Amino acid sequence: MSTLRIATQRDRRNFQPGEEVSGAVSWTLEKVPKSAEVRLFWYTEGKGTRDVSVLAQQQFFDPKASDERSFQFTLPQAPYSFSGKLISLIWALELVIEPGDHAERIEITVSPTGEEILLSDIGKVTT
Amino acid sequence: MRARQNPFRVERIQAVPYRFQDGICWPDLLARLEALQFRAAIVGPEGSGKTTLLEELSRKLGGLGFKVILCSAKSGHAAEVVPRRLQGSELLLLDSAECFGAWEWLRLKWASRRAAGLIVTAHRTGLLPTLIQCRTTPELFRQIVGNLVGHEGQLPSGMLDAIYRKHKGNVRNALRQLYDGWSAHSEVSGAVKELDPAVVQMQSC
Repeated sequence: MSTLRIATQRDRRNFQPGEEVSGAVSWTLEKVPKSAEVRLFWYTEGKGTRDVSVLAQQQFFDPKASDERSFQFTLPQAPYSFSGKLISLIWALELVIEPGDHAERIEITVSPTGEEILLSDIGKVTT
Repeated sequence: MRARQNPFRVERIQAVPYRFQDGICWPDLLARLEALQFRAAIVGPEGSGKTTLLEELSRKLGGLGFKVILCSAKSGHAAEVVPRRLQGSELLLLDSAECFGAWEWLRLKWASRRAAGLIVTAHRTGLLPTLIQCRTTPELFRQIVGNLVGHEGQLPSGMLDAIYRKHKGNVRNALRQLYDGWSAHSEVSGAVKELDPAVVQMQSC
């Protein structure tokens, strides 16, 4: 049985634009993989067709059947993680190992507050 | 409600498998396809599952060793969408074949004459021998909705039947309406009120 794991430093999931995301990935497979890489990307979910954009990827050379590697990305200034009625934009890190379509994903939040922006809250006045 | 939490978001709907009616199953369909020499049409009205079935069929045929080319006639003219000449091992699966005009259709048939097969989806019969007629039923719609919302958010069957009727059996559009109804509320009870049969009937007038 294969296991894949992604962990961010101090298990952080909330980030601000421009910040650094670092951590470690590990895997245990039955066979030596041909390739292993971790990707930083965002995707949309909601009523319409899904959009995906891969912002950065880090390839791990000479991967072993059981291995652990570190990664580091710098987040861009935009887009922010947000949710409305029609669409949500979700940031994620994904470890992809081939062959075999092995993948593990964790979601992260990217915004100035570190929290997902809710479009329904925009314009609300707090007294 | 956040779009990512809506049970009717596109990603979940696209993951709903095609459900055969009338006791047909995959071995029956593949046997019929072989008998038709892999030249056949999946026929049915909009929102009846033709594209879903075609996509699942492409995976099945790929698994059987065919080199499958899946494309949509909605993407452009035949010259842009269809390869100029198809080889003996290639099997062309074309969605929405009725979007091609008569000349484009002739070009497609010519280009695929040596291919392993040509399977299309269409709203009407006549382009190629019919492989299967896709159709929906209120019960099928209720089953799909039930699987998407789970036990927590069961919706009244009368309401679902009204939505199904409003969209004349087009399950895709009916699910889009449920997305809208759900997105307006953070709780199931609110969504149920929004999608009340009386409201649905009023909207359909």
